[in-house]
Amino acid sequence: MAAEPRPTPADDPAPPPDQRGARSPGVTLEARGLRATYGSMVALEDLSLTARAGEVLGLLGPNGAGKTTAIRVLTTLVRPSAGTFAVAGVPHTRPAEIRRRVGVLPESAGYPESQTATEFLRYFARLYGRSRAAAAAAAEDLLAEVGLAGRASSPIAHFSRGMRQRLGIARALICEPSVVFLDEPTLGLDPAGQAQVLRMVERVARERDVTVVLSTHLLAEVEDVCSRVAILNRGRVVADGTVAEVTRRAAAPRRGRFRVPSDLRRRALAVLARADGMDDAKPAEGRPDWITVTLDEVPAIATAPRVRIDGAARALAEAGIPVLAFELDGARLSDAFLAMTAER
Amino acid sequence: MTRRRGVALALALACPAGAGAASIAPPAAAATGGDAPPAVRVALDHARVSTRLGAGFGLGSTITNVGRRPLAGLVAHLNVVSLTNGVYVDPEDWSPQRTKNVPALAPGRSARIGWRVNAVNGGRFAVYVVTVPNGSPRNASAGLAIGPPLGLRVTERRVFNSGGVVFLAVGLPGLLGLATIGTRARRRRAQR
Amino acid sequence: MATVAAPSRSTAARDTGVVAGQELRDLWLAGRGLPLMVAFSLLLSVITYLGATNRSLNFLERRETVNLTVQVAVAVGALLAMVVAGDAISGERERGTLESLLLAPVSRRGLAAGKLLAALSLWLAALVVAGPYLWFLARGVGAFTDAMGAAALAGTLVAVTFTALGIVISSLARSNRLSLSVSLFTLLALYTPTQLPAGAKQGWAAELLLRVNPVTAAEHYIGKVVINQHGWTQDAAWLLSPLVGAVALTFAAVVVAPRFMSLRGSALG
Repeated sequence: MAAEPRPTPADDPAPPPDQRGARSPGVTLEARGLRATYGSMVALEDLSLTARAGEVLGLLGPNGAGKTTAIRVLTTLVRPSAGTFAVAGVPHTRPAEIRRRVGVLPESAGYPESQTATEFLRYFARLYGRSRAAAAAAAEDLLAEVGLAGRASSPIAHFSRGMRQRLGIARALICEPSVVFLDEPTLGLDPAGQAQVLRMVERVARERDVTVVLSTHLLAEVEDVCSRVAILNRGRVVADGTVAEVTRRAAAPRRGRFRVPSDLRRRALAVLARADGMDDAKPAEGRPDWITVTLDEVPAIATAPRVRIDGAARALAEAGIPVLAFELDGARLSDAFLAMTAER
Repeated sequence: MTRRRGVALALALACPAGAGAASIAPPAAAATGGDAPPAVRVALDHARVSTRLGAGFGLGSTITNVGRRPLAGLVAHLNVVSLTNGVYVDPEDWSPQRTKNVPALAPGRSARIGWRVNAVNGGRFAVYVVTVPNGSPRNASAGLAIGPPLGLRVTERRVFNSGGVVFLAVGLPGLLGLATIGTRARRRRAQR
Repeated sequence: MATVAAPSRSTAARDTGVVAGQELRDLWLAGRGLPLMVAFSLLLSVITYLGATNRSLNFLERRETVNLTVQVAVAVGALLAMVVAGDAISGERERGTLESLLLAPVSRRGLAAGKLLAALSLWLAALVVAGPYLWFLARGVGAFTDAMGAAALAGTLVAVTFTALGIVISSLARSNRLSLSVSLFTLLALYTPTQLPAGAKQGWAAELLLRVNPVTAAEHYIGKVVINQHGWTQDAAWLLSPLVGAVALTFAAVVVAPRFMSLRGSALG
């Protein structure tokens, strides 16, 4: 792809001292205390987050948590009423510069039906300042990158939902952004389409070394693709970190299930009821050779759930009861998500 | 009607139709007014004019006080009469300002009044000027006069061709329709 | 909702050119432009045929036929331009394409100006299409230059006025339907006085209203030039309100309304 020259230092002077935090090495996105309102309704209360180059940051939250508003604020579509942010080192006081450095796939993105994919991308390339020749070349390259080279001359009216999302991602990449915001990119896609889009997201972050902010309500996507996750609730970030960190912090797994020979289940119940770290043990409903156990509420990392489960399994083995299988519930992001967003 | 006035109103127009310019005959005889001794005389610059439909020309008149007393408050009025059967004349269309005030005239003095005349219909017409007192009892009869008529012949060039208008009325939308179809087809071919 | 100020360093002229170029392609190569011109030419064909085949028309009535054709061309041409302008921003909003445009580093003024120019192309096309009809009707009475000149002068001012108004309304309206309704209502309201009988247009108050309304003022000017063969400057004072309307509304469309251009629409609806 023909590369457009990046703005020279003269075009992009160093920020004032209070903004220099945004230029921490590798940090491409930094927001502090953002607040945004729609009339009397507070959409963002106190949003703070950071992201680095090459990361895929998952933005999770229930409906109305403020994900889309957060993206609109960070992409300068909506002005915050309080707080600061910087994108690719550019402070929020220079929205035009930020818009040149970000690519966005909005949640409800529409497309001009009568234009072809090539015309559409060329138009946006021209809006981003490219010459006609450079715009044509960029369009061709991007369509190949998102797997739409064979449909370059087709009118968008004939595109499926998945193709439109890929086209939207191509449009988001037209300016060679530092940060790409994707708002529900897999919405309405079948599983194959979702997988295709997610692979594309991973590849974009890895090959282009850009930050991808992926807003989604599909937890499996976040677990699959995101290196970090921020859970929003009521306009605030309530958890922020890697998937494992967030899961661990929010809701240590509390339930598990053991499968033992059915004739030894009664003895196993007695053993587990006495085992350390076990709060409760009872037969699993509808599963004759399974026992459900509830773990104690123990905050210390030293007695992490897995350690306690291991202790219980050892106790069963010492009692001569073979463990045929076990399942550990709650070691999932979904539990962390539900736990953190439960109270409304 | 006096004999002189009747002669003045009879027309013998035998001027050839001009290609563009009006053809003009020499000034006509003076007109008279009423049975009383004439106090006003109206004379036109031309006796005959031939022109084309749509053309305009200037018509000048001379209003003279031929009486012994000064005249004031006279109004000069231009009128157009159709001499062709079936042709209706709306004088308002022929001249924008047909009624004009005549300045006060001492005995023997004259005033020049001019009009712009547009040839709105085709055919033969008489154009004449009358002077009318403005209601003052002193001018009640002395100020009334009628001038000799101008014989006007307006030729009408037939320019509308039904076949021609059909060609335009159908051809232009058809051309635009073809352009529309062609543009769409070319675009669809490029999109394959 | 807070709106974002236009970027300070973007080249508005370039943005205008890029936006106008794409809008023109969308309108004329892939969109409604040519079909609208076909419909417009059919309308003029009917008027021309009826006017041309009526042999009993006298000179003045022929000039009145030419005047009627000019007035129809101006009215319909301005209407078409206004309809396209009325869809310019609110239509993008409804189709979900406005957000992407606002996210691009294109100045909102450039966006508004580009769409204004593209919509005005419909008026220019209408004027060109009307040319052959006016020539045909006017040649017998020597009125072609008067007709085309009056249409170009007064008609362009009216078309710019309504097109710019359409952009303003479109920028503010929350829905496309509202935008088009308000635009059309405004146009009809301003055109209604042209249908008043001559007697109702007498008096200083009526004349003032006729002069202030850019539509009636332009209609008066065109009529005087085409029917009464007045000179270009003889009734120039009547062009004051169309000129003021064109300038003021263009300013509003390109400078003021973009400040309120947002995802949701602002004042209307």
